[in-house]
Amino acid sequence: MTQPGAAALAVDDLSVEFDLPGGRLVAVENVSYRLEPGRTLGVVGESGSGKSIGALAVLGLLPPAAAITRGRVLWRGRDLVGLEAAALRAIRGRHLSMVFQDPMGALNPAMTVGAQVAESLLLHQPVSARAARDGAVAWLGRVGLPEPGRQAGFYPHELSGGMRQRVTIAVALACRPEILIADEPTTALDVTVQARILDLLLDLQDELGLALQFISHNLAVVSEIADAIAVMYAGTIVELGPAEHLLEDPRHPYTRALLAAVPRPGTRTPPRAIPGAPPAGTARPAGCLYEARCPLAIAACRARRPPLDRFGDGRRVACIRAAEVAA
Amino acid sequence: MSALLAIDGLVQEFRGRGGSVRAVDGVSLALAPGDVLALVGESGCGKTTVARAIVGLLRPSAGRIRLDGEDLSAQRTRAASTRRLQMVFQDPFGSLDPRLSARTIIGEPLAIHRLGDRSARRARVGALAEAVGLDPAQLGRRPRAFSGGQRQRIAIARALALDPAILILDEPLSALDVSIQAQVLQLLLELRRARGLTYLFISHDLAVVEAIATRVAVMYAGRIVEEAPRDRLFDAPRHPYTRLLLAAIPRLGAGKRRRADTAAEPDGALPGWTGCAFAPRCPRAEPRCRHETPALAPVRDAPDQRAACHFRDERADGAAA
Repeated sequence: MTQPGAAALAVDDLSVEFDLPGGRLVAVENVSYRLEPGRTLGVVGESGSGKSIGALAVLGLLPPAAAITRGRVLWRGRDLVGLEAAALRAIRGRHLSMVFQDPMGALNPAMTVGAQVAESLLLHQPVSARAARDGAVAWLGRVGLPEPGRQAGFYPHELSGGMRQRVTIAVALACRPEILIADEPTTALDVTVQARILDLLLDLQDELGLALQFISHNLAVVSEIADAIAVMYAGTIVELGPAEHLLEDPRHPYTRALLAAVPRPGTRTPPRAIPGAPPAGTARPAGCLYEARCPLAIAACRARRPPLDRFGDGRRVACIRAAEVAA
Repeated sequence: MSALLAIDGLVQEFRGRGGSVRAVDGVSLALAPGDVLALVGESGCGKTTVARAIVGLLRPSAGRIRLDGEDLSAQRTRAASTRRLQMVFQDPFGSLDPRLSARTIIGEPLAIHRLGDRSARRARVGALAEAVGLDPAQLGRRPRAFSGGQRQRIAIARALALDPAILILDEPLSALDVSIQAQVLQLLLELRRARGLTYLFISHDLAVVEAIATRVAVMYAGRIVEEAPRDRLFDAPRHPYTRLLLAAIPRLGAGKRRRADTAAEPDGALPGWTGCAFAPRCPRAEPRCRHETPALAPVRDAPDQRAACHFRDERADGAAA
């Protein structure tokens, strides 16, 4: 699944900016990655790193103040950037779908959950209302509602948080899309429920051959589901590669710091905080964006932005000292 | 044991449409000075209700809460005790008044208790801000101008204003990114060391609890089902629910997850159920578990570890301890 041309979706040199009263704010800068069928790309970073805005840009769901300023989003040879709203809507949901952190916000509180899954089917497929209803019940059962026939008649508030997130997954996958972007889908849930939702996503990925983009601030959660990982910092990807290499031998100093910030089971010691804060979006230095916080920074780091260069073992790292970063 | 804070047989009932619900059902806990007692469990288990009862936001249906031996339900002691017992809430966005400056928010407890004159209070707020890692020059700004981690620092500074002995921390890290969590966690540990604080740390995140707690109490359906020193709880859990929680922690370095290694999700209390509340989800349950509620009692090989399970003397592999 790694040969060129196998991508379900290719994001190429994407930049997103906000036009705000205080000036232009760079949210995403020259980001490139590919999603492959049956595989999961985990995207990690802190709030404000651009991981969610980048996903919204790919989906054509940017807020009005934000715009794509360069780059392409390639799907089946077509560039989704600049596509008309109607054409994009026809693709979204049918081929390219999404799940967000807050299932309550994603569901209509005044509509039964069965009707919401049925609506997703009716929107994109030539099926009868009755077939859509039956299909909805089947999907609710598939995502793990214990009594789908009865619970299809429930309103969102009558279900637990975990069950609601299962419903949004049913809504997202009802039309069997090829690509799913899940943005912090388990962050609001208890750990036991989180574990079961991760299992469900992995099962559905196998079943549908889904190309999955899984976004989270928590590297530990991402490590449980991702085949490849992209680490984002201040709107850029600073490291991208196979999950096991990146986790065992991180080469960007920020990836290392992020790994050290996650509490490790068994160590019984507090995790290490990353000192400082990312640069403000309106005042971006010309050099490496992590330089001000980086223990390895040298004068050359300030000269220009390090490109995301190949670093062997299928990995890319945006650091001029990547070879010197010890595991 | 000379407990700083002792909770004894706490019961908290709420009246709802279908009769009353017992959110907390006989919880007893004791905090010694310097303890970081973590109270863990899933949403709805009653852990936040325990915290709200301790700080006086709820009037307990039954049970006693004593601070330094003084009963907090007596109105007279309650007023004096609020200074020694402060709470930090989960949501740094919702718990700070958006109309007030950070300086006013942090200084509010001092103003309410009429401590010092204006300039003394101003100096005290500046010192508190520095203690929690906030820039005193920015205290004129309102909460919206601060990041989530900084807002939680503001909430901690406010909680420290009256120099309390105990902080009740209700999910103080849950709304924050992992990297910011690590910063606030370090701050809490520093403050505990520097000020001799005692914490009741309420959390659903066992990875964080393992890093900060000295003791851990696990709550399920309104009751404590296991309590032990931190190492003992993580190394040799004796309640199947504790094992379930531990198995669900996302782990770095374990590779992609093995599926179906966790039991069912909570589905609420069953009507007419008389036995162990966890039995419907429990891989170890036997018929007696459906009828006999196990008491919280010490395990045979470790008197400081208590578990509410009929099989508390079995290890995870089923062998006798």
